Amino acid sequence: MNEDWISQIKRGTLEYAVLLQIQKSDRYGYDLVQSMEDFPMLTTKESTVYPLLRRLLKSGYLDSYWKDNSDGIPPRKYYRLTSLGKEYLSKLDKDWKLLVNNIEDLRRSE
Amino acid sequence: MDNRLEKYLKEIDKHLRFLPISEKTDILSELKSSFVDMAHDGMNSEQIIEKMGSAKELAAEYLGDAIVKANGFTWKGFWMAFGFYSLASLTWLSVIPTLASLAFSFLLSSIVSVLAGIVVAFKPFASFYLSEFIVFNIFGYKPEGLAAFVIGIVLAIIFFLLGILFWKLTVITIRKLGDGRYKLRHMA
Repeated sequence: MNEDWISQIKRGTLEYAVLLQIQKSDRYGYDLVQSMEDFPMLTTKESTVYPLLRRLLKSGYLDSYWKDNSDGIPPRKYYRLTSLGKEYLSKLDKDWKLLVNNIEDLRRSE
Repeated sequence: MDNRLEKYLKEIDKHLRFLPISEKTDILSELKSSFVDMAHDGMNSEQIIEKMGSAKELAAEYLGDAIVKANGFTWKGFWMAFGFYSLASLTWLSVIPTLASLAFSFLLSSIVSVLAGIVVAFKPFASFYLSEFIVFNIFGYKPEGLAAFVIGIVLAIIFFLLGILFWKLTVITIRKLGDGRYKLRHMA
């Protein structure tokens, strides 16, 4: 019923959700997809997350490196936040707070 | 890695052939490494491919970003879009020039018809160089005088309408492709 709305919200907030996770620790693509499965409003397909990571990389918000693993698992591509990315994320933080406040104000004035 | 996954990666590789090789290799290695992770979590090839979605769509997500990143017209962007669409819809790409040249031919024929009608109609009054050799020939019927003029006009109108029709079809096709491009851009 409201799937359309949810998918639009997801599209708009995915970037923020991904950056928030990478801020805490360096992450790789599959791991990000997995951890977002714990949040029903944020669950996203690989086909959206991987290209998004690439875009953030190209915009200079993220940096990547390949890291070897033990026991025969091939290297994984990790992403970390650049200083430009940190700056960008703090702007998103502000915008997010503003959005939540705006919506709350609207709900209260009902 | 089994055959189906190799095939999947090959298809992505094919769709991304206009990206710089270093970038393409990076994308493919990342995908490969996540396939291994998924297999490690107990997924079989079929489940992995189902989870990833179609190779074409995934490639389009990557390309869409690359094309949009190149703001405005660049040859790189053009070739990437061309490369993608030539696989996605070769038919549409070949249809456009065909329709456009048909439209042009019909419009040209329309002008020629008017001129031919006039020339043939006025031949008796004004003879000029080679005018004796100019004949209006429609499937063996050779009208002269006023009839030639009228037929010329009628033919011109028919050709003109055909020309407009085909030009409209060209525009519709381009717009359809444009929608595709729009989709490519907003899927992310």
